[in-house]
Amino acid sequence: MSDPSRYVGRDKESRATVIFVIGLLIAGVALLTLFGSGVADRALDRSPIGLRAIGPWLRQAELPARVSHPRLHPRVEDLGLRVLPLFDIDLGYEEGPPETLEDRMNSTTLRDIDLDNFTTKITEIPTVVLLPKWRGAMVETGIAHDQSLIPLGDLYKLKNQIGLERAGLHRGGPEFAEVEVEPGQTIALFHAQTFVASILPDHCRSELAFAGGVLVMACDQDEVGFPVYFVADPDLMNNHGLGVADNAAFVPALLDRLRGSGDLPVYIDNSPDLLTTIEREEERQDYSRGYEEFARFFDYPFTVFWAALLMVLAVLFWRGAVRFGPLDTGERFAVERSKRAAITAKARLLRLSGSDGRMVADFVRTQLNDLAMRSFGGQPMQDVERRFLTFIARRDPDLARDFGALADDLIQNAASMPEAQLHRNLAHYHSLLKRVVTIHGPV
Amino acid sequence: MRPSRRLVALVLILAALTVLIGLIRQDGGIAASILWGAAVLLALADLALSPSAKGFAVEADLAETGFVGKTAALSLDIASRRGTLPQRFDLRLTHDPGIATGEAVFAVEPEADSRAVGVKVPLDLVERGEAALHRLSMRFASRFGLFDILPRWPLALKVDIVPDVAPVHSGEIQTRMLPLLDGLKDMNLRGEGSEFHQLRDFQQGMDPRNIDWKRSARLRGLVARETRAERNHQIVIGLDCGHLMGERIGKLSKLDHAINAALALTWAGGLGGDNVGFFSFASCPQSFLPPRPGRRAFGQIQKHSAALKQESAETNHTLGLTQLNSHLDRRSLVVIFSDFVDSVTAELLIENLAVMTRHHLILYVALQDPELEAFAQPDDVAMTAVANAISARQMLFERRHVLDRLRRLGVLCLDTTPDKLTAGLISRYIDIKSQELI
Repeated sequence: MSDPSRYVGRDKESRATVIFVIGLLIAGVALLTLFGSGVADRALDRSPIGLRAIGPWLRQAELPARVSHPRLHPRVEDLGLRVLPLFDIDLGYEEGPPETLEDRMNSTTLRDIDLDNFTTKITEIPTVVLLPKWRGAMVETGIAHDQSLIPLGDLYKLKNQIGLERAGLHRGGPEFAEVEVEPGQTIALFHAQTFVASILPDHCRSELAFAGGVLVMACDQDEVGFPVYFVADPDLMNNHGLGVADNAAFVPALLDRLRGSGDLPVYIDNSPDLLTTIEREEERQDYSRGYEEFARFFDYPFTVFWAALLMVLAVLFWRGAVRFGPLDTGERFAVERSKRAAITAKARLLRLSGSDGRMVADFVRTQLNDLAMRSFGGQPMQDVERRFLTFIARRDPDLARDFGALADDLIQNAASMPEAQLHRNLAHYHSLLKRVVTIHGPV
Repeated sequence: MRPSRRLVALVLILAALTVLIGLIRQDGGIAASILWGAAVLLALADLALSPSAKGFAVEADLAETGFVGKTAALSLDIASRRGTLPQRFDLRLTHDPGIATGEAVFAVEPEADSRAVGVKVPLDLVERGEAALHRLSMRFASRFGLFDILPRWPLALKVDIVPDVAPVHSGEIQTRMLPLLDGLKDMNLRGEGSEFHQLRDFQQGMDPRNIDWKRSARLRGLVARETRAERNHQIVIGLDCGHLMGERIGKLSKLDHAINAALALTWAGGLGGDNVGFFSFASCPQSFLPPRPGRRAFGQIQKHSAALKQESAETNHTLGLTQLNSHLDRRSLVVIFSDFVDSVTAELLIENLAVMTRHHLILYVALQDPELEAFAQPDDVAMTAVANAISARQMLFERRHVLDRLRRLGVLCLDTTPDKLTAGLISRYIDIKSQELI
């Protein structure tokens, strides 16, 4: 026969397993919620408007390129040009992640980037900034529809933030605009987005004209000696743009031209964070230590400092070296203190036990017994305390009554008394005891 | 000689000034040198104007023998060879552990313009044996107080510290024994003792049973037999030299208190006409001096006990008391000086005394510790004092418990403080003699 209790046990085990699995799931969901932004980022990079393809493509075209990675921190000195796509139309505002599909479709900020980080990035090395063009719908649907475009008016704040307030943007219709940039090499852009050539900012100049406008513009920066390049239409370099016309063949040549001389790689910076590091010379500066530096310790005013220190040390050493009389050896007789040490150690343990009330009760009982024994001789007898109080009462009835009542109260109730009351009663008992002793003689 | 605190303070101030000069002035080396040079000159002038350490002569005198627990005076005559003595100087002694000084430093202020001074330094003699004074150190300040001048002289004075037999020498024991020997109490003993003493004329009030009828008939007048307490008894003093007897009460250890009392009892025993023996034990039995007539025994026991040393090991009561029991071939009064901590450690002591008490009269002597009593009866009622009192009372309770057990076994117990020990012991001895308990 089967034992029902075993089934009960199994039910409990399976319930525990389910609870454990649910707990793991909740933990997993929490982890996804917390760290799920990376997934969205990767989806953006893989989408038609992402820049996942350009890195391998540049390397294939024999242009050295590095793609950003959250855990790799390349040195700025090792990079020649940064390609920085912007998916944010307001660098001063951090927009939360979209919650619904509709939110994601309508989202104009696909990757938040901080204005300070942006400024730092463009001042570290020459940077090619790709302006935003498409909403999230392009990521979600992959269809370059008119409705997926970010209205040009929405880019006004961004332009102000990145120093292009005076630049005008123009966007073409739903058709491919083609321009032959080299003989036999044509680039094409759908809904081509360009800077208006007639109203370029003063510090900017055209690097690449396109269909009556400016596709790539170089802007000087005051603080650093290299310009920042703005590409009006990110489709020139993103995943789907590279597959159009001869864009793929043109982009390596363009980036190679923009990075200037040198073999430093192009850095495709997909991260809104500052991943690059700067090698600061002052942190790694090696100081040469020679005799001259050491000799400075013996120049004025150190010479007088050392001389004064030596004088002080000499006088102190002299005073310490000569004794007046023998050494003090301290306690010679350890055994004579052993009993005192034993008493205090035992008393300390009594205090630590936290039984002050019972201790006081015992103290009062013993003291009363001692008084009685000294009155009536050393022989033990019945009810000796009561007889002693009767003896005292013959001389001072009031004192005997108060003393007896208080002693009895302490003996019976000291263990349950609050600490303040215990101390108060004990002090009162002690004062009465002094009066009793004056009648009776020393305890 | 060494720099005084004043010179140390001066040097520290100069060092601070030097640092300040170095920080403030571009070329302050000369200023700093002037400061330090002035200080050196001041120090040299101070030394030149102060008395030299070799300008004193010291004569010291100390008694060759002293009683343990008593004070011996060291006489010092200090004279200046040139000029007068300093207005104030300190003295300090280097000595063996057997000697203690109440204060480590003795301040002396001679009269103004005096060239010599006599100083009496009291020395406490705290341990038996030979103790030496090795050196006398002196300290006085230089003229400007920048130096401590420290002359010192070797002394090489020795004092033999022996057990305290002052009560014997002063006649105190003799006085205490008078009631037994020749006083009022002796009259009673004459009537109550069992040893024939003499015949005397019968007087009104005498017990008629004491009349010696045969001699009365021969002398044709009533004569009575007068008896007295028995003499020639055997007294053996057993002295515990274990670590518990090393506990110090007052100036002396319990062992020293016990030796002093034992010597007093030896003298009293001699006066009482008894033979006194001596036995010491600790972790193992030590020497046994067989009972001898009191006065001869006294010198022997005095010499022997002066060399006794307290052991750091625990006392083996079984071994010691069994050995003592084996030495005794006749009923004796055995006086045991010993100590115990609690009822558990006293078990073996009780068992062995119970065995001895079948054949001998045992007097167990224990010393009360006044400090323990002070703990048990605190002056204030702070909780720590109450806890100490409880703890001390437990010790006292166990002590009383052990002594009660010994009394029930027939052992006489004397539990008293050191200052009452000798008197109490002699009194108890007189009682034992008068009651013929031996």
